[in-house]
Amino acid sequence: MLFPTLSFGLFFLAVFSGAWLLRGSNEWRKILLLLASWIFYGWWDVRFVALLIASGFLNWAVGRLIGAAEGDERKRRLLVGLGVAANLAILGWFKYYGFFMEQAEASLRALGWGRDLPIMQVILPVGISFFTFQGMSYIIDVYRRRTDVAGLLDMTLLMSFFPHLVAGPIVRAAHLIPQFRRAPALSRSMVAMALLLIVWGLFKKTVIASELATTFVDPVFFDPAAHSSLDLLLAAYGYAVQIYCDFSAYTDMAIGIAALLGYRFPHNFNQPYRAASLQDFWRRWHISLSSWLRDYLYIPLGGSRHGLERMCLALAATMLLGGLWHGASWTFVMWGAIHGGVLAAERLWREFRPTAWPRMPQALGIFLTFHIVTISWIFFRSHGFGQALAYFAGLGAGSWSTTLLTPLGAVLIVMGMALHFLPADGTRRVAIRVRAMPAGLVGALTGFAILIVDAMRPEGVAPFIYYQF
Amino acid sequence: MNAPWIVPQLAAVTCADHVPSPVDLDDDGAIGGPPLPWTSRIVATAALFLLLFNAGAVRSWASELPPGPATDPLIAAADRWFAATHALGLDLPVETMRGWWQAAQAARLSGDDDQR
Repeated sequence: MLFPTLSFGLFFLAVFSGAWLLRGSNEWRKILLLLASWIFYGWWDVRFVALLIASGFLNWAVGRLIGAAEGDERKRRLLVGLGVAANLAILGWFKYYGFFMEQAEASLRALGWGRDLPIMQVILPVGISFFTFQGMSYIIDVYRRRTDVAGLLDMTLLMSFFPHLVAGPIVRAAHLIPQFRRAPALSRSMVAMALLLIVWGLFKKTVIASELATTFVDPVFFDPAAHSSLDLLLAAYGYAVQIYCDFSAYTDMAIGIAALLGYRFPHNFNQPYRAASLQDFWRRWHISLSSWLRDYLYIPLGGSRHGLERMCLALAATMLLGGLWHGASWTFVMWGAIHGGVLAAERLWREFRPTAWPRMPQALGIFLTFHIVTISWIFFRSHGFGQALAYFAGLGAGSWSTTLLTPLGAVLIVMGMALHFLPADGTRRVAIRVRAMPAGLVGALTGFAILIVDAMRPEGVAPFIYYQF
Repeated sequence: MNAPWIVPQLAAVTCADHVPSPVDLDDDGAIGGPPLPWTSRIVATAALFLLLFNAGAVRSWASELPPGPATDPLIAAADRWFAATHALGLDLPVETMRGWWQAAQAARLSGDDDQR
């Protein structure tokens, strides 16, 4: 069930009505939300609802055992290690089994020990990377005494809550469970902002991202050798806009939907393509993942506590694993390597830059950062190294005369970039006006905005890019 | 802990209940009445607006349902509702906008047709 569909709209109307009718009993309300979340998840593949429930039980039980072992550090350490290993085993089986078996088979063949290994086709459950990371962060935070032990209902709802279940943001237990424990409350501000985020997200996904994907980006990436260098260059920019509009749209709608149910989700995007360095980019792109990687990977790997060399290694390792988190493919590893390498290079440059040298103008920094990110997106988008290399070869071929891009596509690319240079508080300002309006007017405006988006959307909507992660 | 790619204010995020959220605006306690009736009226108005002016979307959705004793009446009702709103011209705004959008989609750069 995709957010920008009528099926989801009807589902949400039922959940919204039920949740607020049950506002007198927070426990029953949470039970309703949990059941609704399982229906939402089962819409894709009902078999995986059992996995989601089992994963919730596992993390709840490990959290409880860690909490009960207070005073026995060795036991607590053992339990958190087992809990993390169990989560990684689930993720590894569903997401990386095929990839590692293929690599093992290729390595054996290269060594002259050709064997047909038993490679099974394992179906990837939607959103597994998100909910296993959420579960791991919970048990690590319980171990670190940064969050309380949660009850079974709260823990399973934390992992299953449908607005963030399949594509984030990765909401920490310390943030959401205290909200589950008290009766949720609405405010006009929350609702006004939620409606704007939902409509804005609908527009970004169904108009900008879908139009660019179907008419331009997908055909060019499908066969790079058949397209001119100009098409390849413009499609790379087009994909940069598409993935931003697609993923940030999901986040906006998730935040808005949760807010209409009375819950606050954190920021996940902040105009990422206006970043003047890659460090700055990661402060603005998928913030819930970058903060997760910082707290549970980069800092345990040593962070900045053990000198520059160790810090650069920790950065590179974190981003390589961050790349692999997105998918079991060398192209994602390469994407992570580019980000890790440039982040380390930026850090070294800051450390060793001759003081007499002038600082880079901000506009040049934005330009360079955007192009580094766009180059890395080519690996991210390509199906395998061969396709990525064909893409770069085509870019260097120097055929700049023809393009598939339509005037509408060009306008959407420019619009997707221009969004990054609008005032950062523009939506807030509009929301402050909306919250003072009468309900009938806000409802009519919301309906009209959705009508406009619906007039522009293509037939059917492709799943969000981040559903595959 | 210095984490070089994370915005400083996020360093405090890990354990805080009050993580900044996009839906946080300044206090609105003085505005209007209770928020839940206000919100319910918005949702109901928006749903009614779309039901009236976008019945084609409801018909498309219903037509994709698997035919059967439970869905056939729904599909027939969606068809009848679309026919009624169409007769009143209520689908004109969305169809006009769709026409503009399709014209924009069909536009090509000059001389482009020769190169295709």
